[in-house]
Amino acid sequence: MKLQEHEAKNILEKNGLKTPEKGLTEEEEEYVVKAQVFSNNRKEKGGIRFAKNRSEAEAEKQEMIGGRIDTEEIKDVLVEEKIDLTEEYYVSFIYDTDSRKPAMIFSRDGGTGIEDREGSKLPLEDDSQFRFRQFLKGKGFEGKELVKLAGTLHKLFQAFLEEDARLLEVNPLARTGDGYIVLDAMMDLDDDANYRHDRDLPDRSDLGREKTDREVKAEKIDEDDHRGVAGKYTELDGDIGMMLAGGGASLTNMDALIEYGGEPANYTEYGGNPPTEKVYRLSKVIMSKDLDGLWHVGGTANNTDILRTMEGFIQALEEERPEYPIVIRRDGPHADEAFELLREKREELDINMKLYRNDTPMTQTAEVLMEMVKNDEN
Amino acid sequence: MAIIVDEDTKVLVQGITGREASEKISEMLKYGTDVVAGVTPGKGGQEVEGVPVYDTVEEALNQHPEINTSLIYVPPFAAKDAVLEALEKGIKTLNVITERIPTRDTWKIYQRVEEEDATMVGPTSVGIITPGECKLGPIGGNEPEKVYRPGKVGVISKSGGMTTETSWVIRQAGFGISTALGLGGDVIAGTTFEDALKLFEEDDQTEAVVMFGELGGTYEEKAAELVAEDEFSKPLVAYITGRFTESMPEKKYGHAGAIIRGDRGKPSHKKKALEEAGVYVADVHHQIGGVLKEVMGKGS
Repeated sequence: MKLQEHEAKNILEKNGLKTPEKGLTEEEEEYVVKAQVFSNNRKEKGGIRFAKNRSEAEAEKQEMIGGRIDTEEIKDVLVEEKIDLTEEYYVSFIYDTDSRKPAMIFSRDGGTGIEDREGSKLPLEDDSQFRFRQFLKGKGFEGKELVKLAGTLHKLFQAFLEEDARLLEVNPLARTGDGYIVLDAMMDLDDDANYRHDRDLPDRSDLGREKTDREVKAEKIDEDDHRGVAGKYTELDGDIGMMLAGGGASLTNMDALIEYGGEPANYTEYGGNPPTEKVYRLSKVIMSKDLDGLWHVGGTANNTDILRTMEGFIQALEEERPEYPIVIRRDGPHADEAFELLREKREELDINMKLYRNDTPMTQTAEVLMEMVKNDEN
Repeated sequence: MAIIVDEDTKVLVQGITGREASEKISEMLKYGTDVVAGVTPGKGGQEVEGVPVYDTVEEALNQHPEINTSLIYVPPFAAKDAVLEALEKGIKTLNVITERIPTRDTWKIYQRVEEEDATMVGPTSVGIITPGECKLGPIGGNEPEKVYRPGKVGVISKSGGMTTETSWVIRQAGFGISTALGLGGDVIAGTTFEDALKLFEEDDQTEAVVMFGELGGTYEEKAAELVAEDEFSKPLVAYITGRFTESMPEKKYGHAGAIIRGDRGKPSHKKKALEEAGVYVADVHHQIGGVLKEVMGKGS
């Protein structure tokens, strides 16, 4: 789960790191006013502003709230004391797949535009402090600063580990007369470790935009019933409805449809063994768009009951009676019965629908559908 | 020959009494896998499908010294402990089916695996199958023989479901499988494409390998490097999924990924890196079959 700046800073404070003082205290003090959104480069986008005194900061804050950065609404604003700094560093921790270990990335030249500058990587075997001294010594740090900065980096790494983060990024880490201060922080927490942390954080979407009505409706499907997954749905701009089963297969089939010239109207993946009702609701969400074709496709299931899930899809077909072409390719437990039922319904509802089992390769049926769509337009 | 598992594999199942594990034991036994013992702390003395259950790995090994492989089916919070227990007792081959293990734990697990010079496939593995000899985990479901027959093509995949779908495409092209491995898609993988390719290189039975890669991480790029350096010399056919995600709206959060990986991690970059190394990369998944036929034809 990605955290907003103030959430990340609270966690770092708890781990013994210094952050600027929050809130509007003195009238005659300089402040920084910061929009709490997930975008990179907030400064350039007007999400970080400076105020000369309390009333100015107050005004900036009011002006900022309710505005937007990129597509995200500004709901929270963080006001902090402005820090006088002598140096700013870039520090981040991440799991590095090259070494299959955590690694630190460090640059003495932090702040805006870091993406265009070089950073050096330090793979970390364990959380010993000497590794940071050794690293900084190699970068030319000396004396008190070498020891103090190494101590701060070590503390950050411990926080990264202890809090089960998958990313911790501090940019910048400011050197001040009063020690090292975290001026901005990003943290992506490992959801798989939630069970061992007691945190109270509101839910959030990883999408770069607000959720659409259909997405909200789909999400509800899994909230109402936890058996199997049928609530993952991302709305896209195209005209081909995608009823996709299985994680890896869903990605593969999206790529295949695009390869054959199709434009997906959505992404989804259902899996596990969802009950009929959940598949029905997901099918309804997918069919609620203005479509020119529909593809219901997945690999050969090990566990998913094809009859049970297909009954939900058929129920939606009966209600929507689509006139656009449909291709189905599924196989797995009880597929014989499911396809018998599909053939019956195709007859009864007079739908332009082609049916395939696993003797036809999954991705090949994308080509079939796109042919049908083309003929349908003529 | 084959890799990692064969007819001499003697299996210990850690977490054997869990719902999922106990369901899969009968599939494995039916296939002919030698499941000799299980461990679930506190449940020693019970049996699952006739397989005796012990409280500790130590006890299981005392009773069944022939054990050489552990299949890990414990819940995520217990995974690190279970793997360390098996390694401590000298088991050198591990297949971790458990999903959603915290990355910090997997890092610690992998560190110990390296120290012990052991082989671990997973976490989040769908299992391993050497057709006709041994099946570990859910791979291939309850009728694996429908898809997997013995042959000369090795299969490696991050996606569980696509391990079998890919093997199915290979079968339809007329080839059998030497060993198929579900590597899992975790950030830290016990066995990467690169590791598996090194094993397949040494295996006489394997004449070609098919790999199914995904967006994210750098394991596909590392495989490309291996091929470019001629350390894998057999024909390699690849498919990389997730290209469409590159055109989806994405919000960048932080710079660490970009600094450390650059464009690596993107499916289009993986495809390019593999192609430049001389790997045959299929554009659409089912084309793997045709490409493989062509490549195998050339080789013989």
